[in-house]
Amino acid sequence: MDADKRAALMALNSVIDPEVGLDVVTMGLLYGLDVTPASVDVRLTLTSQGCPLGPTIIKMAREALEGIAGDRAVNIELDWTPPWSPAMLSQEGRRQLMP
Amino acid sequence: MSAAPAALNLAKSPPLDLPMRHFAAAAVAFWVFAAAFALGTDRLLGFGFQAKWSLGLVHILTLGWITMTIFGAICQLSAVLWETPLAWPDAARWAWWAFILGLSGFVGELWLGGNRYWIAAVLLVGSVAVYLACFARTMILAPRLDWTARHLAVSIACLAAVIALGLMLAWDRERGVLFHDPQGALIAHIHLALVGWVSLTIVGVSYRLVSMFALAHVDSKTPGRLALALALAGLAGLALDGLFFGRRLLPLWACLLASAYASYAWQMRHIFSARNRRIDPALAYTLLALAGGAVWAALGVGLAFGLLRDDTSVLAAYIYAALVGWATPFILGQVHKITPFLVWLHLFASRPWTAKSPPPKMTELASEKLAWAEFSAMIPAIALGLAGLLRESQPLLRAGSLFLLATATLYAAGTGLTLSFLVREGAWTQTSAPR
Repeated sequence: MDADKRAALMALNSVIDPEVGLDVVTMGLLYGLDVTPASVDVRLTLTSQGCPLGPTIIKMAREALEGIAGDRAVNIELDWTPPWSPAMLSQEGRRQLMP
Repeated sequence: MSAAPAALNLAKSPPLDLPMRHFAAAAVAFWVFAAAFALGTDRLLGFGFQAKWSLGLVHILTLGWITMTIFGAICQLSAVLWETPLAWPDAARWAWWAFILGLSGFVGELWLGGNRYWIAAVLLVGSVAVYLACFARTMILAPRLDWTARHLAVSIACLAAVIALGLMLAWDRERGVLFHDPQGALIAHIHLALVGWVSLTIVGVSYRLVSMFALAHVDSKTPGRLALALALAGLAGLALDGLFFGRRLLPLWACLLASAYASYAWQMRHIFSARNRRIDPALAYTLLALAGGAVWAALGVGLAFGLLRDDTSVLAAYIYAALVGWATPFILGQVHKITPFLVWLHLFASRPWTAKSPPPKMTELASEKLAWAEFSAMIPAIALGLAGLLRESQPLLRAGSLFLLATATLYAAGTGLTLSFLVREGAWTQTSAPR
């Protein structure tokens, strides 16, 4: 993984779902990350289509990525395929939620 | 794949004071109920259902605590669940004042033994009509109505029926011309309220909120669909039988309603089995409510089949199981999640954040220890209250009432802390538009 992509991943690691208390990567909400010289492209999902915090999480992700993107454009797309399920939680996330 | 709906839900949320003023008033009503209950336990054993004191006590709980909380939650939930802002929020704000004045006058007049509770009741009914108009208009404007909304549409219709029937019962109380079986009409009124308004709202909301809070995805909705069909059949049959047909088939309606509850409980079992989070106070309260609801259903079947003596103490236990054992823990559990969410949404969601200064988690905005203490007092409040009523034991009932007062006091204290925090932050009337 190149340094730019690692920096983007680190930035997304700081985006915490305030209700669950986990970051979007640990939650398994990150479906795709691509860093090019022109842009940072992210595909995110939410725990459900009616997630009340969805727009806020996207805003926080955008702000976090803009902090490391420099002159690159930040593009965030919502991806509902496949729908998120708790099976997508990382082992660490599972351990934190069900100690 | 779709584009991000930029701040869609945030822009549609009502000002923070709208839901919060409902939760604050409801907390006061809950405390007043608990205090009056604790002070008046000697009046509860062997009371008459037509006694003004007990009528006031029941209505401060059903209208002041339960209905006020549900109204406040719907004001907020309409934006986040149906992506539709509440229609006519200013009308809802005025209706809140009319509701408070109407309920205070109604219950106050009943408790003081007066006969002019009529005037306040009309104000109360008018305010509920405004709320119902706001909610109905919101649902009409919503792009789509989910499973929760369908439950709420039915429960709102039931509330209209409850209010209409309640007004007729109040008018007919000393005239006796409208109903050939006033007891049957009272049974219809009570069940339209407990099952149609309160329980269908709880059931509909629980499918959405509890699965979200438990991080549980459940594919099958069959038990939930069956629960709704059985509940509607049982409720319609019971109401019509009570109003017009002399209560001939009560065991059948009780079986249908108990089956509806069993089917709902089965759906909830799926959710709890699939949960991915530890049991926090909100989920613990939900489990307690499920237990209280099971007791309520069992008492209903026992009464309908004549297995329990049909006296006021058992009937009071039946009502207590519904209102304090089932509805109250469920509401407490959800509000413990909704209030921090509202505070977070209105105070922190719009701020720019960096990795070095992340926003707080919602669990940091409320005291979990306080919530557990409140929950710990609620368990004996339900158990001892029910035992006291069923065994006609004054000491047990008094002990249960004191635990309930402790729960209500802790809850009111928690609500007060949240409100004072919001006022200090200048967020009371703030919308959630970006700063």
